[in-house]
Amino acid sequence: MNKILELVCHILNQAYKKKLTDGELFDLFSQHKCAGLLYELSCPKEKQQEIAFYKMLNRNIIYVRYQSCASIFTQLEKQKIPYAVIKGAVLSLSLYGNAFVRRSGDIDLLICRNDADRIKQLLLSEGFIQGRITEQGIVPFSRYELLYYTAQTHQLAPFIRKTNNPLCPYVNVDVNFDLLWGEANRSLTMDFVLSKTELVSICNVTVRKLKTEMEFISLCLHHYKDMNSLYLLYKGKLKLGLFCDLYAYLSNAAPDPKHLAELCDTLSVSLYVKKCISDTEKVFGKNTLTQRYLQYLHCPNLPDTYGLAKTEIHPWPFALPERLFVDIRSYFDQTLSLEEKEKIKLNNTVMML
Amino acid sequence: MKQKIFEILNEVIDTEKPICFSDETDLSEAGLTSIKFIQFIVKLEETFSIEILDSDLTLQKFKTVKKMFETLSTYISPEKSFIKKVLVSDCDNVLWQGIAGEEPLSIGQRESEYQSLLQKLYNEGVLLCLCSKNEPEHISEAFAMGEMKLTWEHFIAHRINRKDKASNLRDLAFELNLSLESFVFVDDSNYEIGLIQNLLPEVTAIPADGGNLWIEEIRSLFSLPSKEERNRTELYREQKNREQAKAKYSSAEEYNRSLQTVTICKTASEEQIPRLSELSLRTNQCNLSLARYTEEDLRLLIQDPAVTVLALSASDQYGDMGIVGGAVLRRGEEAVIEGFYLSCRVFDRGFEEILLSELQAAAGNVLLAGILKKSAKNKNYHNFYQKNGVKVYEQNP
Repeated sequence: MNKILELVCHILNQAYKKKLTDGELFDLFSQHKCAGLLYELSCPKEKQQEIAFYKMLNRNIIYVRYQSCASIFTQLEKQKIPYAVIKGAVLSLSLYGNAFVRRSGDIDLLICRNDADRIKQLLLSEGFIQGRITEQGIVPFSRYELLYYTAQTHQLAPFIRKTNNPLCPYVNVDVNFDLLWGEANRSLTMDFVLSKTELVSICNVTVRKLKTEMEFISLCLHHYKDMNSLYLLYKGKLKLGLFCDLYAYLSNAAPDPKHLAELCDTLSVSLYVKKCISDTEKVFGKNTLTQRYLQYLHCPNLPDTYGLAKTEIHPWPFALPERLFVDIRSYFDQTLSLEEKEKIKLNNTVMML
Repeated sequence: MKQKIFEILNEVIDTEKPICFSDETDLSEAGLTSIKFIQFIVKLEETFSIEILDSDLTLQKFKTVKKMFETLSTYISPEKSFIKKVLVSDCDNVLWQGIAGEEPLSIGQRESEYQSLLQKLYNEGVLLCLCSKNEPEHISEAFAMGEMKLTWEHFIAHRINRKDKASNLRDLAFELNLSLESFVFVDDSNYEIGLIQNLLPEVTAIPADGGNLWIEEIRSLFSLPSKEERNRTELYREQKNREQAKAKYSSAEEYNRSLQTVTICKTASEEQIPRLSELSLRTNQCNLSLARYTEEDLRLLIQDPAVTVLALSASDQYGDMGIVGGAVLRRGEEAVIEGFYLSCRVFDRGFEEILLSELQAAAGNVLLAGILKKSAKNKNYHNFYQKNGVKVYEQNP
């Protein structure tokens, strides 16, 4: 971790053209979602208190969340329904050896679409409701909204349940069918993805997570979307933290490079994974770690572009790491076509659902 | 059935000229884009009273006309177009406006038209039945209303009780020795319609909602085919094993869960007073102390530190039901429920128990007691407190 801290401090000092204080670095780490690095800094006392508070809060929230869902995980195993918990606490465990470093808002389940009905019934029978949280409590989605989620996204409408814990008043479970995005116009074979899982314990609850190499693929696909989707870029999702995650995963979880490349070939995702590692290398500079992986991944051309759909791909005018510190929103306001701006607006409306 | 689906497709795709579909027509290329796909599914679900499963909700499963019919074959089958022989009608807010036993009743133009249709169907040999969650004597009194076109004798059988309507329909089918596929069920409650659609998908359930379109729909369901057609269909129908109908939910409890009902029960606020007052004035069947509160009464009560006024609101997949119940609790050496009332539209969905458990929580460690004023109208709730371990203070009405 110290190595990444050193690299990130160097990047930030260069970007801001000065030697940043620990206080300034703390703020920038928060802004750039570098969760793992926050705990490595020797911060002023008040910041340390803030960190300690959030650590405690996060630990409590994750505890409540996983304990509330314990019976669901037991049922999934009992009914032999393939699944994996992705992102959040399980990823935190792989990245930092500690489930409580990363903050997240929900438990993300990855499942096969064919199992969606069984899992929905299971969650409903456990008291979850597909709806949104309002001041008045949980309001169920209308049938139209439920249909919208299932048909138009790669997930079911979110499942929410009230808890008795004021620190975590609601538990939210997202059920995903795919790791790719709509614009890819294809789906990953989930049966294959979910055949690569292993058991881990989070807050004394045994859950399935993806095995290292598959988990890294899942992380790359998630981050690739943040780095390329017009909508997410416009929303400011391109953060230094994305690259810290990728670097930390390679460094700490150490997926097997050959096996990773084989899985990428099987799933036809080599381009995405290689692009993520290559961009990480651009951020942190050429190094033996990223080179170890890049040499096995088969993908001849890595275009320096953004955009997910074929029709919306544009070359980047900013190199990495400079790209992380420019105002992408203003740039998009000036350069995107009306159609692209409309798509961003539509996405915004949908996400407000 | 195919024709109806093509009509829906054309309506949703909305091109200048209706599309002539073939098995290989690519629906996405024909204009069934992502948003229209959802509109199409919504319309299909409404028209055929089905619910498409999440696992089938992919454009891939609706890519071509052929694929679409393959996917839909598990939900809709051509045999579903059975001859309808029985019409089971709800009473309150369907045959008349208002709730018998709760409020004054009247018959508007819509109810009058519906009753005329039932008279006509009766004369054509359709078997009419009643199914209501009211009390038999209230319904019988309502039939004595001057404006009623129908008499009790028009109805061959009735189930006027507190059982869930799916069980009642099964009983009626058994009594009449007819398959449920020949049943049409009419009700103004989305909950009841949903219950029947989910528990007895073979029954055609018609929501008697605003406007007169539903009356037309009933008329069309009973428009008779030629005698030969009817006999052929009847023969076919008799061969069917009614047990083959796949009910999606095995019990009313399971169905209730699927509705994703959310209840909010908390201390009443100023804005909730008008509705809480109105509900107390109108409610008889589940009003345990027969308490009637004016808005002013409730305003004073919510300011009283020894009193807790609770408002119970509910919503589900069909929409927001608003405030459906209220309670007044006075805390002293004992915590006494002075008022406990619930809209008759939500009986037997567990709301009674929710309201009571909130009262128990508000009472804390103090013994919970409730005032009970027995009347003929609230007779189904005479044992409610006792059954739930609440001390009863019985008073004369």
